[in-house]
Amino acid sequence: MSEEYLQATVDKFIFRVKSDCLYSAAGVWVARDESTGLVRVGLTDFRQQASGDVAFVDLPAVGQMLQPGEDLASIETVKVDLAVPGPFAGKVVTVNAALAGTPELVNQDPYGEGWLAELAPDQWPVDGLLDAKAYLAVMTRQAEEEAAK
Amino acid sequence: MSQSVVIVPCSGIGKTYGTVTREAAYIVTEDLRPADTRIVPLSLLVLGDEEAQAAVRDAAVVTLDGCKLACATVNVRQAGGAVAKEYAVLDFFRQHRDMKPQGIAELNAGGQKLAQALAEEVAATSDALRSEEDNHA
Repeated sequence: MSEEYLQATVDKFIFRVKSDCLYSAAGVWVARDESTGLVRVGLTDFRQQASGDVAFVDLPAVGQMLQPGEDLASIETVKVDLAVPGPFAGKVVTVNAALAGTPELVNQDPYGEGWLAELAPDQWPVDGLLDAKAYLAVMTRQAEEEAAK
Repeated sequence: MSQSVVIVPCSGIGKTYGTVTREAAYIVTEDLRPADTRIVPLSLLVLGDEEAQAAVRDAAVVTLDGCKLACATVNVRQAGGAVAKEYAVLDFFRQHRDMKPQGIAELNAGGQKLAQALAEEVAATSDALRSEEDNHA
């Protein structure tokens, strides 16, 4: 296993968790750029796999203020309509415009080219976010519950 | 006169997007171009049916896939056939967002519209393929 990622196997599925990110239990990864203070966010590998092939991604307007839990993005997949909750309070600085034409990037490269938005957080650090090891445990439980359905 | 264009839809049972491909294939072969097109079931290709394999080797083939595994396209090629045009329903849906398919045994109105739109495009493709074939004959 790569040191860049932790991973869990549930049923026949392998889910990766990027080691240097923080996470919300809802399946949003968070990566802060120390030089700018901006925080890039996206959907975790588990959440994208569980949601299915992405057909459309609707992102917030640049400049929009988000509260924790408020919809950061709406993602329409072949299986579900997914409201992605923002992991903390902050202002939307940039959105990933590539997703308008190639929403499948969320499936193909969830921790890379499939990022959703960059936010300027109201404060940092943020309470309630999980490190990779803690999220791996939460995600594994969620995956096992879904596999048991 | 050129021979029938072969349409191979997804065989995924219990999958909404697979159902869209089969509905579209039926619309083309039964309503829009009954004299010019015919279906070869993907299940026969998977089972190695010789008649089905010969059919996709000898005709222009259009595949309709329900997911990114693209079983219809893959199996036509494995049978030695050349795919003249391949359609992926998800890509097609991305061009028709107002036609969201739901349901499995019975498609919702959005799914029926999407199947109809896909069928019309496949019918046009079939016309073009037959025209090309006639020009080369």
